[in-house]
Amino acid sequence: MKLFLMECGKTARGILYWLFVLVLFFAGVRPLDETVESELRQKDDPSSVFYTAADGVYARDSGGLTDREIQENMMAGAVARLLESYQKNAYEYYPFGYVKTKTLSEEGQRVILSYLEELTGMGEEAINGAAEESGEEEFRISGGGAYVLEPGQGSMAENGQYVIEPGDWKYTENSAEIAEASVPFDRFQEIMGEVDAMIGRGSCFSGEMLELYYCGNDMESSPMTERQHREFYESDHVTGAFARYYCDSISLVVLGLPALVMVELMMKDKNRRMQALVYPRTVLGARLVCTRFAAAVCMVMVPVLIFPARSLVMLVRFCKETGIQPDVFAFVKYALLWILPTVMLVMAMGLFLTILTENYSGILFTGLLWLAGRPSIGKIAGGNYGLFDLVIRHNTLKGYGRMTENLPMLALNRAVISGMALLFVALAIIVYETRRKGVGIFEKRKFFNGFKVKCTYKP
Amino acid sequence: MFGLIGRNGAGKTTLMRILATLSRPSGGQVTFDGIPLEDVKRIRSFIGYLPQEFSLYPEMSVQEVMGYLAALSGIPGKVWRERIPRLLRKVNLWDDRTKRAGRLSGGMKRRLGIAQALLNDPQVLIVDEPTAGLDPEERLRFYALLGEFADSRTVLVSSHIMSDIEAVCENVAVLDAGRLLFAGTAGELAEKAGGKVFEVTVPREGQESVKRDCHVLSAQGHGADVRIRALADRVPAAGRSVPCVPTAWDGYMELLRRQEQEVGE
Repeated sequence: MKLFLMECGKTARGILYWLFVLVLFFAGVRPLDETVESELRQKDDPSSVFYTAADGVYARDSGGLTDREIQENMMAGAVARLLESYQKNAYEYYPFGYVKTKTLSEEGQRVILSYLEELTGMGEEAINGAAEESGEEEFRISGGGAYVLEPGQGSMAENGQYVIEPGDWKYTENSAEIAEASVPFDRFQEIMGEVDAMIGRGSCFSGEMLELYYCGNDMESSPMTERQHREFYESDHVTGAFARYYCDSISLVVLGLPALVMVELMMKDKNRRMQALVYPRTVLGARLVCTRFAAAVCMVMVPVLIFPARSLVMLVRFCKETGIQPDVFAFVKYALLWILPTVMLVMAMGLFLTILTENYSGILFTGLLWLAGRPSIGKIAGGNYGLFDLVIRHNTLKGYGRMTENLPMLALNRAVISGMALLFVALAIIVYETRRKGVGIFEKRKFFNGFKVKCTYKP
Repeated sequence: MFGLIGRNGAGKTTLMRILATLSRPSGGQVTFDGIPLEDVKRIRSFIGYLPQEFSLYPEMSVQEVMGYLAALSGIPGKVWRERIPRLLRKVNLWDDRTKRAGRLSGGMKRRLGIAQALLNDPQVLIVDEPTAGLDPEERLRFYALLGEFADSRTVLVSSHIMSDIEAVCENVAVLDAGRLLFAGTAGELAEKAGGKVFEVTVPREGQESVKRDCHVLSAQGHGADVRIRALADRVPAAGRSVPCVPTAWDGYMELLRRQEQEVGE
């Protein structure tokens, strides 16, 4: 235990560890806190996950739509989104799995304008005029019909947030009223393809994203359906939905940075020239490697578990006020089941590569792992799990059902990832023991700048 | 105490590393009291090692470093809680126990090094070039300390400074280019130069002829003359030569001279 605690202390003294904590905070915790606050503030808004319809009537579930209705929804939603992006000259795309915004040149904006003219049948003046009128207000598309925010509705709160009251919404059965596409679906797809090429990889207008957002994947920021409402309150107990969302937010951070923490810890022996003091000790290599691994993993998991505390308190408070039983351990459960296996694998690879090469190439390899291991955009809605997926995505507060439907594959995936992590730890132990006994590995290779022994002994 | 002496690159550190189970020999056999080197776990339980080049986690305090290495040595908490203060007092670092290892002077670091090597109360203490980089006073203090620890255990110390080895070791081995040239007492080593050490006094302009005929050990100016201590197979022809009583240092130099002659031939 003493050794474990000392290794924890060593980990906490690393610069890269604090870099990880910082990135984790900005990439995962702040978005979570903001989302919780925003959803709570708009809890009476039909699109908020907290929304409870007084009359018990919710939006239609997109699962019951026909293909034609889905196409119409997709076109209406995409055109509305394109219009909004054009107005702000801010086009969202996901180059590395995280959302980024692209600003187009004047020429690019002109091209988009021509597409909008073609798609809506409106002229330049009308499109730009719509921009001036609509201001910051957004179109909300949902299956079959839509809640439309009328221009001039909503108000600006003191903190600068735009607040929409329930009365600000007007429900319309035909979403085409919002932004009617006046082209056939094939031409719509062609235009979207060209827009996607202009914006860049993973834009919101790629076929993959359109399918994701408008084909019943629980990704829409549309009004809650009854199923989603039930899942949120009865299955997720409120906190579960946010725990998944949090795990998704930090998924790309934990796919890479924990390896740096491990590499830094393992390189300390070499950098401080401590190997000659550590290697001849009686401690078993297995014990030392496992202790270091466990300590580093624990230190990485500590902020992962602590950071959502503020959001959890807000959610529990809401639950108490409304008489709902929250799952106070939701964040811990999801962090341990979804995040821990990824952290273990990434750190185990960092551990193994650092012991093998005794240099920082572990960082390079884990960088490559990060690039290769990022899930495709199609997986961000969750529920679509592969056996060897390194991270689990679930970039929505909805979709509990999608997860449970694929739970066996999810469980298998996490088990496989954990198993691979343990395999790398086992390999690391073997290499460590070999090194301790003075067997040089890659001694002659400059790239693997190993623990060189200049042996001049001649019997 | 057993001293291992040799030039830089003679193989002292390699041998020390082999004995400390950090390197594998390319040939030959090593046993500790009958225990083969391959029984690494057993050997590690009774050896202590202070490497020539080492550093410590600079962010840890002296006490933390000791505690960490004690944990790695598998020493029970009850034992190290008593042993660490005792060792730190012994090496005169108790008052500096909260000081960060990165802020220790060279001498303090060496003393901490010897303390950590004694953590598991080893029967064999392997100390590689312990005084490299220390000033003469620190060197003397360090060897005195090492002498204290040698009372109840075998201490194997390497150096390329003969006077250090001669002052503290009963037995000496000379290593050169990975080969053992000599093993015996310091007196026996001195005898290797018996009848071959001369003090030659020559005018300054005549010292070149002495250098040609002899192996110069030292030279000291005395007014217009130079007093040269030299190794030679016969009495040097130049100047006034007086035979000298050889020291272990002379014996060591004689061994190296012979070795060079053999290689030259």
